[in-house]
Amino acid sequence: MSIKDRVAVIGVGCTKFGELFDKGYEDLAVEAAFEAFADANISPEDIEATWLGTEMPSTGNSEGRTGASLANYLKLGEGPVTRVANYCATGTDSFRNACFAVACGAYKIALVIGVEKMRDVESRSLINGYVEWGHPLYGKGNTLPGMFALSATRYFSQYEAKKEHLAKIAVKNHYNGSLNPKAHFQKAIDFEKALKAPMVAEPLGLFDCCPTTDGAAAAVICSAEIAANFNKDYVLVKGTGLATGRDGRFHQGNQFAGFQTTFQAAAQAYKEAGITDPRREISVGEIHDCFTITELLTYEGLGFCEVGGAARFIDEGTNLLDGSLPCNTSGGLKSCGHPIGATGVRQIGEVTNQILGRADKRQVKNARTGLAHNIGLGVCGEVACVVVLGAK
Amino acid sequence: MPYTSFMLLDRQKRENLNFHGNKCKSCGWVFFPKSRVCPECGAKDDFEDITLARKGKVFTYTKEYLYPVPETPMVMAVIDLDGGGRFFTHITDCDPDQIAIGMPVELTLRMFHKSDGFYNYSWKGRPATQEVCS
Repeated sequence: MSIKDRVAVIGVGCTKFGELFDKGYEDLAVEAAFEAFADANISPEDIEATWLGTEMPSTGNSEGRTGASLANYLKLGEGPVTRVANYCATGTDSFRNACFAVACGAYKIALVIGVEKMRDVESRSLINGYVEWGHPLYGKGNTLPGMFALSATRYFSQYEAKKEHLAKIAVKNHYNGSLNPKAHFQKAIDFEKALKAPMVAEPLGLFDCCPTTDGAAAAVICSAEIAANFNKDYVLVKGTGLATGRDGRFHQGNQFAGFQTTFQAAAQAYKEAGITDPRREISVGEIHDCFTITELLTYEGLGFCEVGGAARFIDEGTNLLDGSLPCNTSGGLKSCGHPIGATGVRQIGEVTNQILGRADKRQVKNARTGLAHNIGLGVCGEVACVVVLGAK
Repeated sequence: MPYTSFMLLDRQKRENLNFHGNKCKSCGWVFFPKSRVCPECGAKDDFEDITLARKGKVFTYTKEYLYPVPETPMVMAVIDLDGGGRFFTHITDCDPDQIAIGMPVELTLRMFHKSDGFYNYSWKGRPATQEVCS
């Protein structure tokens, strides 16, 4: 069964992203959810079921481990709350699961919300998580930036791209973020600053890495049949895809110069959406730039350019706000920051706003079809999710 | 302090101390760590227990500046082992400027960390110097 055109996004909400020391998990969840309720012209009691994306539960596992804490904070009724955790694809996968439930008719209206308090995670930081958690031996010494750096090293050895191309992505995303009042960083940077930043995991420097951030984002979805009843404009879900790869760091099938799961998830989503030429049919892309190399490799994985063609795609400025396929108009994870479970839902909000013409200074002309993409890597595998949205 | 588990170290002692991996009897794929289903052909529980080669070549690498060790950068490399299998580990006894794709390395048993009273040993890479007994 295809879910194309069966599900509508009728409201989105998003908190300010940042180091929000004075706000807790509850504050973030309530702010994002109620903004989405208001945008959708509905009341909280209209929500029949909820999907919650939280990757790293906080404060003694009480917040985000299950849906119970969210139901308590939002004072939801009897409807179910399902918690989703799937690496960095947590947000988009929460949305995907909610779409299936609405498309099959189990629920008419559902809430998707991603909430993450990165400042309160028990490991204190993601880097420290890699030191203290995980297998005691395998891959010990590797950090998240290091994991993506392995791909950069390999890609640079095979194709023409170099560190300058990563710096161009950082400059672009910082500029776009400077136009986004909800971004963690709202400051443009120059090319030299990005290029000469201190090293984090070679070849990735400081400006190749996104920050870890507090934030929440929400979307209200409903059956497309009733979408016109809410007296507002909406977008339609055109297709989704999720791929989980078994090819971890130890598997000899893993070529590192690209992410197989992104190719696979994109193929699933494009097939459902009926997209055959993404370079021309997609108007705007919110794509995973946890590190600049991730965005570079994703251009190829999503079919925005051919394999090995990312450097040219960047040099031609196709990915810029005024280019022919603007990528990360929000500023991406680089500027918005990365509250893991919230990120995918925030991206869906940005794409929705672009298609509805509500993206203010970041508005892309004639945005008809857009996509959100997440990818997460671990020592033992990877997962990627793609969601395609379009005008009604 | 890094997480460790005596039970886990005991279950995996042949992999981590003897450097054992699996060779699939159906398709011949050699892999580490061992698993119940062949990553290449999907055969279940049909493997030969083999000692992996302690020599190989760097497939890709990074130099980590954030991992808390006394001396940075810490070189991490994905190593394709001679005869099959891939291993991802820290490269020690190495000038970080020396590391390159294709560089021959050999594996050496080292202590990774002591935590919860257990010594955690496994294999680190170093630039290949001489013949290593296997």
